[in-house]
Amino acid sequence: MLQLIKFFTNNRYGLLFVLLEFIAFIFVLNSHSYHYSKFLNSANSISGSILKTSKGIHDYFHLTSQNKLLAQENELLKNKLQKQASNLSQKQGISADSLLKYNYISAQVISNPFRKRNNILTIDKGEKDGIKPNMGVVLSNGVVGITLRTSNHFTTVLSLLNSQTKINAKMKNSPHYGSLEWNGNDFSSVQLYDLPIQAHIKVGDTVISGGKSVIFPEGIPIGMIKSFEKKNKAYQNINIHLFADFSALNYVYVVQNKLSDEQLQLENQSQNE
Amino acid sequence: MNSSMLKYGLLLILLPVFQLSIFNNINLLGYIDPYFYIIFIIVYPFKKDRTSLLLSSFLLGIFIDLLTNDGGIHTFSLVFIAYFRRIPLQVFASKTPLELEETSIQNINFPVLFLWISSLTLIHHFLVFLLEQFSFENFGNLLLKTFLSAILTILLILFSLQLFLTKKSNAQ
Repeated sequence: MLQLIKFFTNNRYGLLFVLLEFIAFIFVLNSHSYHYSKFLNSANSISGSILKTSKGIHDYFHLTSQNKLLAQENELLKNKLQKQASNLSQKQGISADSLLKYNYISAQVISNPFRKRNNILTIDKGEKDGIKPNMGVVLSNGVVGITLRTSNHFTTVLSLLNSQTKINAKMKNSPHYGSLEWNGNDFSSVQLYDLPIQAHIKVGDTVISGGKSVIFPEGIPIGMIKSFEKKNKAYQNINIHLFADFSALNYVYVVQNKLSDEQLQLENQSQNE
Repeated sequence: MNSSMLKYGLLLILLPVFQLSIFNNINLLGYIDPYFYIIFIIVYPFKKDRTSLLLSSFLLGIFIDLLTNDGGIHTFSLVFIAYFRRIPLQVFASKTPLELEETSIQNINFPVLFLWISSLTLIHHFLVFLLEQFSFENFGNLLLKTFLSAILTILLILFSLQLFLTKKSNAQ
């Protein structure tokens, strides 16, 4: 017993080292599990406000270019609204409910890493604004990611540039689906997998969001095909050039699907039968 | 004792803020990521007790991880080089542990200082990038990223040591 105590007091520095490394390694393992980082994530008020201040300083120097972008987006949305209104008056049969299925909450990205293998963004809206985990985050010209964790005023977002993100996508000019993943090399392009050979694709074709899940609305443009190979009667290495510039994300929209609970419940019931 | 505690306590808070607001926004060639905060391990005095070094680098690592959403990657790597920081210096300067206690970084000549900082930075950056991707795929890419990022970190650290040390000798 005395020897044991002696051993511990002699090696207390080494033991402390092992203990600290063990704790840190648990955090690392935790961050690589499916439900990201329960312990250390920036959806808390202290990190959130530091990130917000630093973002504010950075923004001041980019006001002009951001204004331009917002003006362009306004124009696009106004045009869309007009089209929608004229469509609505033509098809009186459709209930307004299905047209207003999605609600958009605008938020600002306050932390935007894009050079790592697994990127997680932080945005400045949280539970108080109606954001919950597993909601889609989009731009007018792309899909950004899926919300992970929320606090009152902040939310972390699993970026499309992350090894754990898989997003359902389809070709604009054919009804075939595939899944978008990122191989970690270049932040301006992602890869499309599981696209059946029946789809006729060529370089320059547009890829849009699939709408097979409850997270993203269908038809958001994501990118266009940059290159692909055909081997053993299957498509390989389909590289998609993203329309959105992930190195300069600023304002994004969180998608609130009002009917997601209903759809999920129905799907679960059908599976159980 | 109290003033030095204050000094390193202040560093613990300032380094994460600097790292986040300045060094994480440096964007060269798409993937160079300098981690300047490891300067803490370089400037922490040798004669202080080693337990306090381990605990404060653990804290610093936690702060960085909290702000960057990196799990425990920075904590693990920082505590690792904090524990082994004397070994490269003992090898390059051929000093005994007892002699090291009396050393401060002002007394180390430049080639040894450079080798010491470089080895710590390379080990740290390699661990960070390895734990981040958590697999050995693209190993060449990983080594390249480690090497390029480490060069920038080493230059930044040497530059700030130069500023810090000359200021100190003027004051004396």
